[in-house]
Amino acid sequence: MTIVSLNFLVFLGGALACFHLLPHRWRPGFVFPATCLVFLVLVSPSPSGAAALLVYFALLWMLLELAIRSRGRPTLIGALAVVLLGFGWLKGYEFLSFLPLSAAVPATIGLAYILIRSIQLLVDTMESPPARINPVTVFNFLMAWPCLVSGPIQRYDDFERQLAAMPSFRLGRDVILRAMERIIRGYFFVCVVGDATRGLWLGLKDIAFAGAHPLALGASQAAFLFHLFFDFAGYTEIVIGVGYLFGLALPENFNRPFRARSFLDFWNRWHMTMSGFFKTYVFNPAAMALTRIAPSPAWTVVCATAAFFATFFLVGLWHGTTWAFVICGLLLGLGASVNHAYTTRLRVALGRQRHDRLTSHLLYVAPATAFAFTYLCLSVTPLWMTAEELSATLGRYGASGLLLAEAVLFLVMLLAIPWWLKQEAGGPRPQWLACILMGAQLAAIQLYLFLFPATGGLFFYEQF
Amino acid sequence: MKPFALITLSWFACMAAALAVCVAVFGRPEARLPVEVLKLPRTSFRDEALRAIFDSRNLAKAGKPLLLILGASATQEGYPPSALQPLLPDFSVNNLAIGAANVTEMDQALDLALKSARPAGLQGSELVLGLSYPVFVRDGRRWTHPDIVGADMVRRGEVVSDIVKEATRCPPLLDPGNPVFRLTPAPLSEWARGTLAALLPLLSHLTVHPADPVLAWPHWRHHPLVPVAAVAPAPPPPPPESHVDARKQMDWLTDYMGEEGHRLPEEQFAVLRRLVGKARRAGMRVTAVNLPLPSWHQTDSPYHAAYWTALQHTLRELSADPGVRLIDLSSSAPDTWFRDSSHPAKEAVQDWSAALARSISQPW
Repeated sequence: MTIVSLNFLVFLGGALACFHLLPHRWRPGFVFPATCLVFLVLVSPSPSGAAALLVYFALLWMLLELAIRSRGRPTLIGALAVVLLGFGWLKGYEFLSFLPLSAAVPATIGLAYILIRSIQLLVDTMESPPARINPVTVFNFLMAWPCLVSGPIQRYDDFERQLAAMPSFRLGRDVILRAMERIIRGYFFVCVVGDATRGLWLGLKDIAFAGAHPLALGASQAAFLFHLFFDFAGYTEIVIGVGYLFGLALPENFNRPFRARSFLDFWNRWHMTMSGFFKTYVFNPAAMALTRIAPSPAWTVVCATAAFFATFFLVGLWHGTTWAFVICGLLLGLGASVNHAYTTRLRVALGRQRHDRLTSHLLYVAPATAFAFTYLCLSVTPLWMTAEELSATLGRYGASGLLLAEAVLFLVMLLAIPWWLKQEAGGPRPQWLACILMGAQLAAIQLYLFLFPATGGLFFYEQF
Repeated sequence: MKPFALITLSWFACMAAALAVCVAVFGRPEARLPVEVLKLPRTSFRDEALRAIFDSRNLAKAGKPLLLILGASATQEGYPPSALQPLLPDFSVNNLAIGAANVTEMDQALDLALKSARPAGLQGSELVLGLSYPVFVRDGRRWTHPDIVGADMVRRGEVVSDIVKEATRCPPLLDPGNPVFRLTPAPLSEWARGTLAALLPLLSHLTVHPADPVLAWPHWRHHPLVPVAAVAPAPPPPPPESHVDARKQMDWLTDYMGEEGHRLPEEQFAVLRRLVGKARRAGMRVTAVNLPLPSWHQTDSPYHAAYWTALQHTLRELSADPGVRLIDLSSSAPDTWFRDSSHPAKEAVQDWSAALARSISQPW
């Protein structure tokens, strides 16, 4: 069952009916967890995959109980190690293939997001341990079906508050309209724009793989980024809209990422809940630990740069288990650390006023932004090329061919960015205009699906 | 205005505008889509599948008992309504054959027909199944074969027929396998198909995917550092061969079937039994026709003998039902009536149709 299938709509209808027709006090303790369990079974690649996730949840629950009782740093480290080992084993990382039954691990779904939620829960519980923790609440948090497959990632305390408020939640006209606006926009992004950009990306990829064609290679990188945005942002819109119908206010995942001015700015606007997690639970502790080792002010930039590298390297690894994702991590880490080091040095060298003047001038902004996006497109190529394809591409194009592809991409971005930056970001719309737009989007979806029958496969981020 | 009413009105206005523009620019769709003659080589049976989906709604308007013909390309070419109708005036002749169909797709076409045809109109109607060994190819083989399935479907690895693929244009209302299609009342289904049919003329002006015109830009393969003028224009593609090597075509069919030991699997025969049972329950008589094949094809193909034996066995099992019969036309056509290994020559179509009409007119 995928989110764009009829089966999902049937499931949604059933979940809504149970949620709103059954006694409201049943919602947090029975209805919501039951719908999570049903959803898990429906989307899991196999029954054993669903069972594996439930066992993983049971393990997490035991570790949480242990963490609350023990309250020591060694316990936290041990619990995190077990969680990460379990994740690595279930995900099938090659370097953990020595573990027993590695070859028999069932395929699961949403595991990477469950990992993030469980690390968050373990760390936050250790820092502010509650008297006790409700297993049903923890189950609801870890397996919350609207965001099981690919997020967004909510903080536990936010979720707990919203879950507690579920019995008193009432579905009013305004909530329904807000939900419809997000859901319809989401399906428009996924089914129309996402499908169109997917066809473009795959077609250009075929041309780029058929011979040494730098234009096609550069264009396929850009097409992939656009496709990924509309596919993932569309999914997020649907999920946030669905959450509204159940009293959940899920966090936003995107904040106009194509208005970013630098590599790091982009990651502050793209998949924000994941970036926020890595910033809070990886970057900050890493930077603090490194600063304690080397407290001298001369080493501050170096420590932060190293922390950026480590954090983004882990972002790459989190996406997948093969060597392609190691390369992705290295590229992301390099980009983040170089961006941070460069920005810091520039600010120190120019002073604040001159730095602000320079970084607001179009002659600087356009090439800097074009460079950032070009590097970004390059660094995420391992998400859509296997290690063998990467190696074959390197061999086919050589260094000069690859440079040429990136140069072409850079030039196109350089020409487009000044125009793009001039476009005003839209503000909130009046309700009547939003309704007209919803109707138009529905018609566009229906017409597009009729004229260009679905060629798309899985929603892209579902594989992570 | 209330928000939900505004949304509905906006949706309706946009759809109506799109349909109106389509009709104004491209004209109304033909009442019946043509039973086109195949042009070889081909990799898309889109238009034929669309004909099965949309033309089947015309069955409701038939004022006479139906003669519904299902099959693959030889059936499509050999028995056009224009040739058969004058020979069988007591029937309303409808040909919903689809190129390269297997029995599964014939079954789906029957579902579409049964949805539209009035139950009273089916009494006394006749279903003609044009059969030869290629229509018994397994689903897993047919719907993933790279020679006759689009690259996008091969890439997805999905096993869906051309009817189901085209039905994804509006699956609840067009896909015979969809529960919504099955539950929708026939008049509503016909109205919906009639409305959507207004967009069909637009399809012939569109590419398969909106990205195709961008991908067709010739300079994607051009090296950016080589001046455009220095690149010699590509030679025009050679014209397609007008002569088809019939033997090579038979060899391709042998490879296409792809069964070890050249044994036909039971899968499609089970579908055939189900199809016949469905037609009988609807009140139709069923005539299975063993299609004409050139004599050399019958003797040299490793599949023909096994297919004929299995077909006779299957029909023998069904022969307890007086409304089911098997007609053997395999030797009714001399080799000169064929333009290749299995399709009728243009000038022989009338003869093909006459042979079928004579056999069908024989008393049960």
